[in-house]
Amino acid sequence: MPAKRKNTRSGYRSNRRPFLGKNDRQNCPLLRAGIKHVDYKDVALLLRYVGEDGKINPGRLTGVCSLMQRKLTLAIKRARVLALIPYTDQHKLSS
Amino acid sequence: MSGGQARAYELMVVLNPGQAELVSEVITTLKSNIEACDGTISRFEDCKVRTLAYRINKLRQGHYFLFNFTCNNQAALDQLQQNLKTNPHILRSLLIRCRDEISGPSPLAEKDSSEASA
Repeated sequence: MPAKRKNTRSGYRSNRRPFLGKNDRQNCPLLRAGIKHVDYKDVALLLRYVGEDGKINPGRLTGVCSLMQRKLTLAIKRARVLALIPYTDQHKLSS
Repeated sequence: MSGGQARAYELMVVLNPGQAELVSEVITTLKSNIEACDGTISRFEDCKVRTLAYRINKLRQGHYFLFNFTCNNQAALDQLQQNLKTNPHILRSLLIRCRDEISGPSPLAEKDSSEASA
């Protein structure tokens, strides 16, 4: 008789479908909010996916799916060109 | 492009807010440029003066304008792009293709109106 498997994290078995990772479209916060096109003029939305230093947060941390991450990246880069959002936290704002 | 359906474009420009008469002059020039594209302007928005995220030409504020238009004439569009590059009063510009013609208010204008009502 085989030894009973421990119900630990590594040995856990269930009937649920396998976890597809955080980039799973069902978990994408943008798609869940009903956003299909990311607008570069929507500064409040873009700033949610940009770090304090102005860098774009990776999708694996924010849960944004790869399709929306590509749209988000393009929108952030367009907004940066128009000075709607900063490139970095190193901009010299005072003269 | 020969014949076919007119393509939709979006243009956003950032102008130096210091000289009001120059701002209106640049806008009328841009509008005439767009009309030269055999196009129609479906949305024109004055997004007001906003603080820039970083200084451009030692300026901290910029006057944002948004145009949505359709165009059939590629040569006129190239001319418009050339004008955007060479005009010294335009701090930044972005001309992109849109999937559809847009006429509703933009997120920048919506924010302004919500601030005004609050």
